[in-house]
Amino acid sequence: MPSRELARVLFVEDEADIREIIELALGTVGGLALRPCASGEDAVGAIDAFRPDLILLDVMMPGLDGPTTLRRLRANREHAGIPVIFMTAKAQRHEVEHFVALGAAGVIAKPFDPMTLAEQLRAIWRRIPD
Amino acid sequence: MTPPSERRPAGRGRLVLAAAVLLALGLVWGPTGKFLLDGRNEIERRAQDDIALELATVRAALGGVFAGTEALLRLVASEARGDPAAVDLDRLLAEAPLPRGMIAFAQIADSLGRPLRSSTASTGASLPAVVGHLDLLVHAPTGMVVGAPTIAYEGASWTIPAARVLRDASGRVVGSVGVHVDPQRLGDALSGFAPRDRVIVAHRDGRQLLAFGEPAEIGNAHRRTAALAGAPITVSVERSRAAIESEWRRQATSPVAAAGGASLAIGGLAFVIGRRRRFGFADPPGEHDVFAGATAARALSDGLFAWQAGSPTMTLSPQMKATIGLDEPAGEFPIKIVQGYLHPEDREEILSRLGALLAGGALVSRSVWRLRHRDGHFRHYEFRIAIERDASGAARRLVGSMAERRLTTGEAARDTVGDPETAETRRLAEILDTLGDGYILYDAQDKLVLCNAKYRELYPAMAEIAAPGMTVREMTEAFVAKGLVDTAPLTAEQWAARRLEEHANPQGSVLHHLKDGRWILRREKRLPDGSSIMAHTDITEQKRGNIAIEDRMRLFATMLDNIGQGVVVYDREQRLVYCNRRYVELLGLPRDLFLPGTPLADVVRQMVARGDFARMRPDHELRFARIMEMMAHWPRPFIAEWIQANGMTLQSHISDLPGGQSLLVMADITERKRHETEIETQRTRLEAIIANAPIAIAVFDKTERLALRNAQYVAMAAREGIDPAPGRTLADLIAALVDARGLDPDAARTEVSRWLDGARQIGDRAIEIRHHSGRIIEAFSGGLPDGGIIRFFVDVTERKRVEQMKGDFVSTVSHELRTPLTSIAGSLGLLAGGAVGTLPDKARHLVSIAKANSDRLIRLVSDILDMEKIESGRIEFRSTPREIGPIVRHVADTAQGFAARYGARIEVQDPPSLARAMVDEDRLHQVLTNLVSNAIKFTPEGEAVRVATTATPSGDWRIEVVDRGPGIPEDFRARIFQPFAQADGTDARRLGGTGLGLSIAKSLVERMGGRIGFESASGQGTRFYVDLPMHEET
Repeated sequence: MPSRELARVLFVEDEADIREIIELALGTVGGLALRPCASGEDAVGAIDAFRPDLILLDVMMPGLDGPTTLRRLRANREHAGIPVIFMTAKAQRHEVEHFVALGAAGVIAKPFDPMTLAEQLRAIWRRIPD
Repeated sequence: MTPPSERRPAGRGRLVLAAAVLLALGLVWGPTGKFLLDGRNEIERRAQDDIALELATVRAALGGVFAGTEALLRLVASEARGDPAAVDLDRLLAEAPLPRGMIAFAQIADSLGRPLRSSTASTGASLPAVVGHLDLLVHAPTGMVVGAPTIAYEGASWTIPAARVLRDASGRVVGSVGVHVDPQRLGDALSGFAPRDRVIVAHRDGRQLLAFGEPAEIGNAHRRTAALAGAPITVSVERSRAAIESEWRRQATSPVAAAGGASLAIGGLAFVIGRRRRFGFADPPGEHDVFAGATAARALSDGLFAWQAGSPTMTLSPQMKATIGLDEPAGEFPIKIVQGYLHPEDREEILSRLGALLAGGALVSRSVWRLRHRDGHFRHYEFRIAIERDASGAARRLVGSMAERRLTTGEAARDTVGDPETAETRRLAEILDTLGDGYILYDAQDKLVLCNAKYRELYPAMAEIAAPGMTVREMTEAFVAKGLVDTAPLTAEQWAARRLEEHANPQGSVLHHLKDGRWILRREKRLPDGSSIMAHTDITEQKRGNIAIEDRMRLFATMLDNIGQGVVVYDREQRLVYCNRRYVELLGLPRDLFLPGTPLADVVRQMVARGDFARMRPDHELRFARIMEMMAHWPRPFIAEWIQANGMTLQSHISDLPGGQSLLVMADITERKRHETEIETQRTRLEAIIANAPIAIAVFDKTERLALRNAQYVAMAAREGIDPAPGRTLADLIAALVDARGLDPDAARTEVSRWLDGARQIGDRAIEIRHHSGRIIEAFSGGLPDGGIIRFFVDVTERKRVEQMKGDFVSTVSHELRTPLTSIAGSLGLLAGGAVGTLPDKARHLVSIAKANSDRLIRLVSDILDMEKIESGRIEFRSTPREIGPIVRHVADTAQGFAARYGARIEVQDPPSLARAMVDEDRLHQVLTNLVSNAIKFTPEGEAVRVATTATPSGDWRIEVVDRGPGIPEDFRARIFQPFAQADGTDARRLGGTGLGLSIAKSLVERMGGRIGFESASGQGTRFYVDLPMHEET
């Protein structure tokens, strides 16, 4: 369990609407500091500056998809230790395992409940070993 | 001499005999008294008599030898007239009526004494090699010469040679014949005779040849000498006075002596009647046999006799006496008496024979006579007779031997009494003996001439009786008397009479059934000369064979009449010999066509006329000719099949029998044909099915070898580069297939084994085969009744592709649907959650409606996806042993929020610890969540939904979800697990259900090997349960 509370989340979602929802869910409702990204490339560029505690990563995206973005992010030693949570409409068990195998700390299914999204993230955050 | 006590008493009988003889001869002596009165003179005289007797005896003995010797020599001489070299000395010696063993050997020498021929075939003597030759030859004008004793052979033996000159027709000397008389035997014989006398045998010229016994004191002996007729020999007997005196004194006291005796001097031989004991005949026979000297008596078994011409008596040896049944001790008997011992029927014959012999001039005779023994049976006797003749050829003396002979047929034929030996008879007999039948030859007087050995074999009981001279009547009567033949129904006499009639007029053959069970066929033929010949053949075997054959024939005929096939035999000319009932039945033609002798052509003609041979090409007339030609000329065996006019199909198997006959075996094969046609039809149908099936089919026999395959299979295999040759085994084909994959050996082995197991699995489980080409084939195996396997291969590539497409589509669609739903649900969620401020009541209400339905939509999308996965079988299932408790608790926890919203509580009754089942945790969670949600929705506010786990009697864990709701309506209950089933009124969908939950739950539970069900009563709530098999930790 990390020593401190979850505070800063970088999330990547190509759909604008959903980005808005997430922003409201995590920011307004969840009280977290957020950096929304519209694409994988965006995320890779933004991560240095924002220094998130956690990254929320959509899977299905044009261009760099979730897993590829993850690899890119991990390529940088500095960010390699930041836990990543995938978000996907296809949360099959085998897919979950696959994402976990890639190094994800967790998987969140879409559609999600915006009122509890932040809580879900926190729950996953707490489970991450130091 | 024997002691007095052992002497056989002479008896009064003999006295009478003696007296009678004496009277007959007119010579009577006074009683002994007169004799005794003379005293010493008498002794002297008697001594002289004794010696005379001895001398006579010795002379007789030697005379026999030399008479025989002379006879032999004369015989040889006459045979050698002109050509001594041509004489068959062996034969002559063998035939010579000489005392056995006396003659050592014979030799013919030329005029210079050089040996031309020798023979050691003497009368029983065995000799070592003869060395030397006659060393003495005196060429006298006539007569025999006797040489001095000479050593004639190796060793110590010596002989007395006797010889005779051989002259040719003109009287010129051409050679000589000599015999060597064995003096040893001579001596032995003589010495046994008078041990105390001294016997001297000398040549007339005074040379001593032989001497036996102790020499008497010179001057104190009585001696007498006599000459031997026919040989230049003298014989002397000496006895010392002292010996004579002591002997007489002893004998004077015996009654026999008192009887006196008479001696008759006849010619040169003196025989005494009444002095028999002087000859020692009272002694055991053979000791002092008069012929001892002539015959090496100790070895003798022949009977001997001797007779002097003109003498009324003849001398007989003990054996001779025994043979003719004379019990008298004497050695010499009046001829009339001897005759009295002969069978009346033989008497005349014998006498006339002897007379003929004497008169005939023969020197030797050897012949076999058939005489009646005193026991009544005929016996054959061989007579060897030597006759000593004087210069004029008149018979002077006769010496002979008689021995019983067992004759061969030839000899028997030769020697019928009175019949001279004929070469033809002998030849006939020899021939008859080689034949397999029993033969009897009777002469014109119905007297048996000969019968062969086979006859005697056939009738052993008649063997003794069947001798030459027996009449047909005697033979027949004997046959019947011996009970050999079964004469029924005639009496024995009638049978015999009938038999004799048949013999008088032989008709041919007659069959006798003997009492011992044998069958004898008798054939008789009368020959032109009046004689008849009878042949007896034992046909018992044949007769038995005939009976056996008849039995077998009958059995065979019965068998043939009862079998299902028609059997017919035709002879060489195609005429019927035999047919059974079935044959007639099958052809259905009038019976008269099937009488023996009826031609086959008649039958065939009728058949053709009737319309049989329906499918034969040529028309009627040609048909007939064709068939007859076939029967006559086609190589056998062959089979013919044809269709009768009545629709029957007949099949005939035609073959040859020995002797040129034909055998036909005919069967009705109509049924069989029908079956065959049916089978053929079905087979072609099946083949067509298999050939035309749109799938690949391969049939393997019970040894897993490819038996049948269609073109599709071949094509499929060819695509893999495999040749599915018939006969290849399943394992072989699979191995080839796997090989083509290029796997490493271990993997390949595993793969092959997996496939093979799969292929052998009979049932509807399909094995998927993915080809490297990308095609997907599903293979099914079915079992065949004979133990084989039928394999079907369906190319499911397309289907799979479509399924994949469908799956992909659903997956894509659901993803596409979820994306906007995320926004919708997200927005509504925020709104409803007040994240962006408070809403006016009405707005909040509407937002709430929207949110509820968007949630429902989200659930629907998931459910549809799940349903599709479940239906396509692509749903992921990972069943592991899990404790039920935690799962239930998790479900309850998760549903808390939901429950709170509906104002309901969830009460969980903890299952027994370690309640385990094989479940996919997530899916069970899903199922239970569904049930709990439903229960929550229907539970009245404030009430609790109870979740409990119990064990069922059937070994399941039952998880129950109980609500206190209104219950499930009757008409809905049957449809409750169906997708999108609606219940009017209490529509779960109204409460946000998708309509798929229960159907998914059911599929999932059943997939886990469990059962889902419910109990509900209107107004009393619902109890849903999920039963899962208990999993025991092993």
